[in-house]
Amino acid sequence: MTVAEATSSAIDSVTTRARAIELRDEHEQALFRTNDHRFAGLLVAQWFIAMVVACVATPRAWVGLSSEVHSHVLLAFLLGGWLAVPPVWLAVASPGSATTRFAIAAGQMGFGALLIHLSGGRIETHFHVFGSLAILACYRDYRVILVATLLVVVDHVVRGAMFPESIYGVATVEPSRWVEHAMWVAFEDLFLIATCLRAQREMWGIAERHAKLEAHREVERDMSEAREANRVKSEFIANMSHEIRTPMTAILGYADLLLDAKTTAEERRTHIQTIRRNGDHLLSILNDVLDISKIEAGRMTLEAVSCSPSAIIGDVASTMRVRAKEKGLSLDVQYATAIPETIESDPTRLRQVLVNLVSNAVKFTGRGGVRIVVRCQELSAGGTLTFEIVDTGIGMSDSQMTRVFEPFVQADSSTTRNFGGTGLGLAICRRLSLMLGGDLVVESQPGRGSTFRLTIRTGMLAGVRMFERWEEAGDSIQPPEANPEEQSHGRLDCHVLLAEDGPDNQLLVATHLRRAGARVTIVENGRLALERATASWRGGVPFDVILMDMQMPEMDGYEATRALRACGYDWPIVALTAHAMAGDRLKCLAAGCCGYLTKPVSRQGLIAAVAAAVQKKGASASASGDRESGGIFSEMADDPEMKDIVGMFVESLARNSVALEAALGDGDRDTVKRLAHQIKGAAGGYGFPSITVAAARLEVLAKGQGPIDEAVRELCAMCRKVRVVRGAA
Amino acid sequence: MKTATRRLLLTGIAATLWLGAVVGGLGLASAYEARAGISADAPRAWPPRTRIARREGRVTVLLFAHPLCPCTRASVRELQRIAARGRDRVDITVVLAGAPAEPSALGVDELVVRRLLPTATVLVGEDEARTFSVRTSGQVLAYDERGALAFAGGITPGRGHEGPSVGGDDLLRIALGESPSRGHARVFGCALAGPRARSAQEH
Repeated sequence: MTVAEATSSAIDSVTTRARAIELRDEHEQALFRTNDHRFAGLLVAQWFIAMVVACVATPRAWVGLSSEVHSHVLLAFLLGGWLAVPPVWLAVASPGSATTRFAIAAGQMGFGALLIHLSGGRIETHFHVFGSLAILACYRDYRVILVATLLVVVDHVVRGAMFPESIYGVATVEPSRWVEHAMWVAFEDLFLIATCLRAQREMWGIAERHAKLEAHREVERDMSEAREANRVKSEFIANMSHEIRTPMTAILGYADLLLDAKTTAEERRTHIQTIRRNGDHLLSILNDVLDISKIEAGRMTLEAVSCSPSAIIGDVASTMRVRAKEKGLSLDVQYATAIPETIESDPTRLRQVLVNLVSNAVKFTGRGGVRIVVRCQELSAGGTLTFEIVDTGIGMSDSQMTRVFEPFVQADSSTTRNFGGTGLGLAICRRLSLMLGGDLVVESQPGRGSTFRLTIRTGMLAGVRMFERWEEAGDSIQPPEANPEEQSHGRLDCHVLLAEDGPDNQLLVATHLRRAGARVTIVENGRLALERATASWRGGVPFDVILMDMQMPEMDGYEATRALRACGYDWPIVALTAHAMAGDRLKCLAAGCCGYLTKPVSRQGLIAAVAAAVQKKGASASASGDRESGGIFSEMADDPEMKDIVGMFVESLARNSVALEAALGDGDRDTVKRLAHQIKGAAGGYGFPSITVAAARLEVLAKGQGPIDEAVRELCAMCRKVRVVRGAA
Repeated sequence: MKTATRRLLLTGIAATLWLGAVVGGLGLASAYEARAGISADAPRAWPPRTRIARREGRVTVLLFAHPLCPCTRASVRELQRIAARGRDRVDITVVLAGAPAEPSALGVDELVVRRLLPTATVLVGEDEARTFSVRTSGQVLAYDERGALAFAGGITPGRGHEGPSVGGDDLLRIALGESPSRGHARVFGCALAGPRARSAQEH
């Protein structure tokens, strides 16, 4: 047996034993409860019998012609009740507990003493003691026998010494008479206790066999599930292979055609577009696989930032409308209730889920159209937003609906043949919806269409402006991010330092930037980037933007960025990384980057990001006079309507700043982390992006074990510089 | 104090109070059972004014019993046991006093006595009780062959209790022609007359 097998066997053994204990305890509890209830009935019956016996045998005490109720009657009623009621109450209120068992044993033996007394110590009544011990053995708990025996012995010793006739029926007894009685009881106890112990062993044996049987069945079930999972994954790999090979065939084939000298310029353009389209498709497959693996590994982290649901819906609708139009379908958005202007959620993931659902709806609908119906429900602990994506497509059967959210599974294999896809999209959507605080469910009828209902949490909605109609919201929606490329007509007039170790990417990125008008300096690693950036900055001709690959040899982008920020470098650094998760973006921002680009980079995205960075730097440079004079101002500083709201936030920043310093002094990292998270989430929404960046950096550091003093001081210093309006102290 | 400790303490206190009350109740009941009635101040010699016949040369045993006293049955049974062993030497008379000895499901009437003690003479009324100054049901008086008081007391170990007792043993000795060890014993049973009747009797 290998070490792994031995360990596994030991774990199994421990698990089986634990389960056996559980089963034994369950069985014991059931036994205790049943016996508690039976004894409760018996105690009440004995109380009744004692009263009947007293009333019949000794009803009244006489003094000549006058009489009164005999003390035996009162004794049977009062003492019998006192003996019966507490154990019966325990049997009803707390069946199965040890206290109840012991109380019942004491009550039962008490009735023995009472009956012996009422019968005037008749020797036949002593059989009650032996009978009681025997039936108490039904509990299979030897402690009950011991408690009962102890009470019998104490009763015989004490009462035998003081009132021997009440227990032995004679006025004078030898001092050792109780020993004789106790010996008989002990004799019976020997057999009863042995029986109890044997019964306990048998119960344990049965429980152990059951536990082993269950474990065996569980192993069989696990193996069956593993086989099924393996089969599904094999199917998925085959499907993925097909999914990847199809666009790959196109890419390689058309690349060959491009190399052919006979290809005309027009054909080259068409071939390149085909290669580009297939590349995008491959990328989406890769993203799906990455997402599901991150989710299943529990490494997916979502943001909770202020975002506009109307903007996201508008974005999704405008993106998908093109595809819907190509198929002759309508795509409408309806507000069933008033919708908040902003919610607290993860806009990227919400957009991803909606795009996937609407894309599926368009894909599986041949005639009719797709509707996105949105409704909001405001609750005391925040609100929920529900998106219904209703299509008039092919629909699904009940069995298909039960499988559609499982990863690697599509409605059926014909779906893959007819419509393509990896079978991951809805699985990802379901998991993301759960992470967004809601759920994703589906209703469908074959041939009549499907309705996917996505619910997410919105955070608190108090004071948030509500839109009654989609058109009303649509009017107010501003583009989520201005397209700097369009603003600058795709032209860049700046000097970019590109830190990238891959020659192909160096060439690609540099070519895009140069064609857009930028000057580009290329370095191969973080150390060179640090040296070149520092040298040019100190020389008074800093790079307008640094494009920093985060994974490089010698010194990576995180370290280089941190080193640059540490020495006071305040020019834009945009992260360039293949890590595409939300947590990675935060990590880059925490290192000191002000922008974030994921590979593969599109030309438009690259130019837009560089242009945005240059533009922001320009804006901040114009405000640098304010900063140098001691103030950080909200981007909303010029909006008089926002003055009060921003003012309240600035006040809360001052309080949080004090709390942060106090937490740092107490070494309370959890509080630091919590406060940093709060500031990070709120500052951007009030127009303080630089505070958000600093808070995000602090949060990441606080989650680790490294020093946080400097980051806390930096954030607190920034918080102290915050002003509501220009010129305010 | 931790919840578990507090709970254990409360359970212990409750159990102690409960069992303490049980022990107290049984103790009080036992004390009542052991409380004896007033013993008879019986004549030392056979009184001439009694209507009960005494045969010379035989032991005369008198049992005074309240017909409705729950202890009477125990006394009669004890007397039955003793009479069975000394029937050749003993004449038994049972005096039912204190209440009418009418047939009753719960009491001991003349018929019950005759069934248990077929050779006994049964008298009903308080006169003989007054003659022999008997006040408590269950009182037994034994006069020897010459008419001298040999034993006065009860023959049960307690109220309503059957079984061996000092009085029972003494009476058996007398019945068997032996000398009693003490000649007297405590009497357990109901009072044959109330305070008023008793006062009248004393005067």
